[in-house]
Amino acid sequence: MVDRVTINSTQNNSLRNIFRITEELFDAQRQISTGKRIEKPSDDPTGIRDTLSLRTGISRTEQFNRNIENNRIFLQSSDSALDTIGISLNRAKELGIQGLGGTATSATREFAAGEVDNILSQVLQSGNTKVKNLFVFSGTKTRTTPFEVSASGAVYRGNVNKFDIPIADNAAIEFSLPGSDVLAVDLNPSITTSTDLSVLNGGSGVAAGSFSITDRGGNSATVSVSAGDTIGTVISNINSSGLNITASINANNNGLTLTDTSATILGELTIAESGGGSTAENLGILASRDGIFAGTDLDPSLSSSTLISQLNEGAGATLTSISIVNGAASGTVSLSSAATIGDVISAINGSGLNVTASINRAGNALRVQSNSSSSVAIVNEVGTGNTAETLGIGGGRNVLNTLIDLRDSLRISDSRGIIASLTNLDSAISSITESRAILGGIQGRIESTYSFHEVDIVAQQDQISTIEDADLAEQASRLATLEFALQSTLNATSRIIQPSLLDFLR
Amino acid sequence: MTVNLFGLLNTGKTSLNAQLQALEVAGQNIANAQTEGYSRQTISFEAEAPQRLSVDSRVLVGRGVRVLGVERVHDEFLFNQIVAEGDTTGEFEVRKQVFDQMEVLLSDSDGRSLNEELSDFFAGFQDIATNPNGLAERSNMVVKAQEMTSLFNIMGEDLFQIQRNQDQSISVEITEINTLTSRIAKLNEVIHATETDGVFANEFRDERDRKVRELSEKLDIQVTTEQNGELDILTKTGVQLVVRETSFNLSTEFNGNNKTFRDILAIDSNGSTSNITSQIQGGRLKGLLDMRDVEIADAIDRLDRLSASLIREVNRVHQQGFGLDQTTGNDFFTALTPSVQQNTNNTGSASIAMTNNAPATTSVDKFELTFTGANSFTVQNLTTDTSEGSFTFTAGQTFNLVGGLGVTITGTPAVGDRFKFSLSEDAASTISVANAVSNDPRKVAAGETSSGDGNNAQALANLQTQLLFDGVSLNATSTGTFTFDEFYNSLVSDVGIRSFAANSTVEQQEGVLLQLDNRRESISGVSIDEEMINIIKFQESFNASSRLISTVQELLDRLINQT
Repeated sequence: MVDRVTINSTQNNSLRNIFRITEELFDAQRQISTGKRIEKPSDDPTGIRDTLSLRTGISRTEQFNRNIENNRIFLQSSDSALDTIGISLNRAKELGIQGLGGTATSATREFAAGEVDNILSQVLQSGNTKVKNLFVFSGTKTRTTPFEVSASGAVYRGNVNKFDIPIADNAAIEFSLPGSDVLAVDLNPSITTSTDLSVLNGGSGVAAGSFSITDRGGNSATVSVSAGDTIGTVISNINSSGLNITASINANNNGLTLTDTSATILGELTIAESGGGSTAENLGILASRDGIFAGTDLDPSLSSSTLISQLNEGAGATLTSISIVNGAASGTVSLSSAATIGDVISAINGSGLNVTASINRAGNALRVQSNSSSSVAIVNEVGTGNTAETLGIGGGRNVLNTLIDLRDSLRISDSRGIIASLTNLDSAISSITESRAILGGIQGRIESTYSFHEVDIVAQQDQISTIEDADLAEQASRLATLEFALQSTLNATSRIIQPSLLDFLR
Repeated sequence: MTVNLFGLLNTGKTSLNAQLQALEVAGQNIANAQTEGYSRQTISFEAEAPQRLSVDSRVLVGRGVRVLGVERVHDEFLFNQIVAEGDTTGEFEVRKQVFDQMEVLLSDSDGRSLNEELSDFFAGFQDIATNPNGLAERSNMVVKAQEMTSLFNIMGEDLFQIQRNQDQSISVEITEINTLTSRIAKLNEVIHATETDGVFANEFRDERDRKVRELSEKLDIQVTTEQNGELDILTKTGVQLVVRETSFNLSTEFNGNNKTFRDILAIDSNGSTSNITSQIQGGRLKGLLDMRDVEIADAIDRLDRLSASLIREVNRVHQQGFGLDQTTGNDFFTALTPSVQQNTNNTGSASIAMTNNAPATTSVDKFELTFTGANSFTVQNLTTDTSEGSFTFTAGQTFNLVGGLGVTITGTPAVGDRFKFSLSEDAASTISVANAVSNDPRKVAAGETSSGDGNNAQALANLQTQLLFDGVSLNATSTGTFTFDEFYNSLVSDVGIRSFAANSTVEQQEGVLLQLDNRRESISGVSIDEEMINIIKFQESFNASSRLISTVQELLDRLINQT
């Protein structure tokens, strides 16, 4: 049987075909004019997910490169500061050697001392270099002037933390070295239960007073702190206050941790001062937390009871012997049996070399000075040891104190002191060189990371464009095909629709 | 033998009549060639009963022609097929339209995509990390955060607006369905009345077919034909819409358990109403309900949980840090507050108060609590569809649920009473940067200590790459499989996939319907050519019959005047 084909079905078919072709034409035109294959998620759902991920990846990588660009200056400034310091130290060495020459007199030495003093100022200035108004050698205490020189010697006021900047996923690198690695020493002791509160916060201690603790179960108690308490007292006072709270020393051994063990949680763990004091703040536990409260770094300073094992954040230090030159007197002091800083100090003071060892005014290193005004006490290493450098009393990293010792030796014409200082100056110069080598290594790593990122960004963009961009050649040929199809359809339609019996009936 | 000349005249007259009627039918067909749903009509003739020429004649002679009827050409089976395709077409057209709207919201072609805003937000933290003391970086970061929260707000609001539009469309559809069913019932009556004396109510049947077809796109229907030509229409689950000459109106009712959106009610012959919302299986109504209660609701839920997760995690890390003003324990985003929704069908007097006592650990999933006794209940996690277990309680005493929500129940519950609660309800449309931070960017807690370092800002920036989500919800221990970005990206691609599926179903349906319509056209459609031929045919017959009459007249003339 022959199907009846009515005018309506012809019209419907033709219309649908025309619409289908024009819709595709529209799409091809859109792809060509926008250059994009994907306009909305349904055009390619998995493609759009990939491009979104890639975009995130690109913006992260760009952020890493921005980190590098914005902060490269820290590395460059650190390096040029160390370069200047290296040159200055070599000049100081020349002056020291001249001061030992046969023609040297106390007057020429006095004159040289003046120049070394200038060099000291120069080195101090370089050490306190600022970039973007931030000190480059302060560790992460970038707002604190790192180095300070006074009559009693040079001290470091920054911290030992690295000024880290992320340059890739899970890879952060220091863009400068903390001053304690370069020009001075920070023994950075840890805290123990027997640490006195008075040594905390760089030696400014903890104000006596009381604070209130409210645990998450809603129970409160007041904890009092009096002068002379230790960390252990505070911890046991908190633990015995009847709260669902366990206080302890944190994993870094530099602060307190309060762990809330309330069965029912009604609110936050809150610590507040009682009576407007600053006790809790000084203990690094003022505020409220939702669960575990990690207190801040209490920055304890050295005391005579500080254990050697507490030094360097609890990593400890290995002490051997040091050699002390103090005018005509000289000798070796063994520190290998010292258990505390007090033991070290009394071993040096009891050496019979007429010197006094003390904790420096920043509370983070030692200083050895002569009891006599006619000689300068210089501490050298014994053999290949580094005990003197570690304690902040010898050469190596102790660049500023070494310069001070040389200047003082020249000033009072202490030739034994000058000779001993020159030994320390040599190790200081190599220490600076070593630091520059480290910075150079970092610089190299940063630059290669930077260019790797650049390549990576291009690759990711390429990938996006593979997914997202229209294939122009393909679309152009599709456009041509569709145009042809449209023309043919229109042509055919005009022929099919027109003829009817009516046309032939007259 | 006698031949009755007048009888011959009568034969001519019946033929003229019949041919004229046939021409009328052809005229009607041509006139309705473009009328949608019109079925062409055919006329059928029958020879008039013959008569003996005389009482004793042995010859029977026909007495002309009689119009047997005018019938439309209609394929019942084909029509049923078209009706059966209607609900799929209607449902997917709605899905396609709504997904199109959602895609506009989610696509990044207008330059403001949430994905980018999220990247910018975390990059802002990293900028601060590298320069913790820079006020410019801090202000810039806060502005970026505000841009991001405003985009969250806009998306949350817009999705809700789309959802509300679906709800309003449902009410419009219901009105249209009621108009259609009452018209069909009326047509049943008319057709029955017209056809009792044996004629075909072709035009009314066409109209009724059109209405049924329209109705079939609105919801899933099954059509049965009664003996007398009346149609009964039921939904596929058996809800009566039209029974003979009575139609049953659908109505709507606000559902307090579903954002006061409309539920659909049916009335039965006894006059009692029942809620049939969950029984709708197809058609535009199903599309609208599905989009409103499933697809958009799901997108809103995921967006809500994304922003709630962002709030929880960023605040958790932010609280641990120190601002430039030395303060600590501050929230970056306005803290989440729990929402509790009492089921409107509850019969007990219990009420529940909730506070967010542990913002860092409380789950942001959605939960439902069902009382199983005077002092016990179970909790179901609606997000992961798992049970959180059974619990007992003492009225008036506060206890914790789902990681730190402080819950106090007062009053006496009835067994089976239900409460929904979550921290993430409306989180997308309400997320904002905490006032303290937006007023003073120094409060951005970049430092791990108060010494001005940027370690905490870095920890915040690191949240971007942490695997915080498992498949559906925030995982507390960062051992999930998705990051914030990926969680959002999967939302976008899921909408894309569904939209794509809806698009292709619509296209496929269009193809199927076009074929069916063409088939219908080939059976019921008017062919002008055919009608022209019919006209010629009937005209010729008319002419011939006229000739017959004039011949009879001549014969009579000869007989009367010339003999």
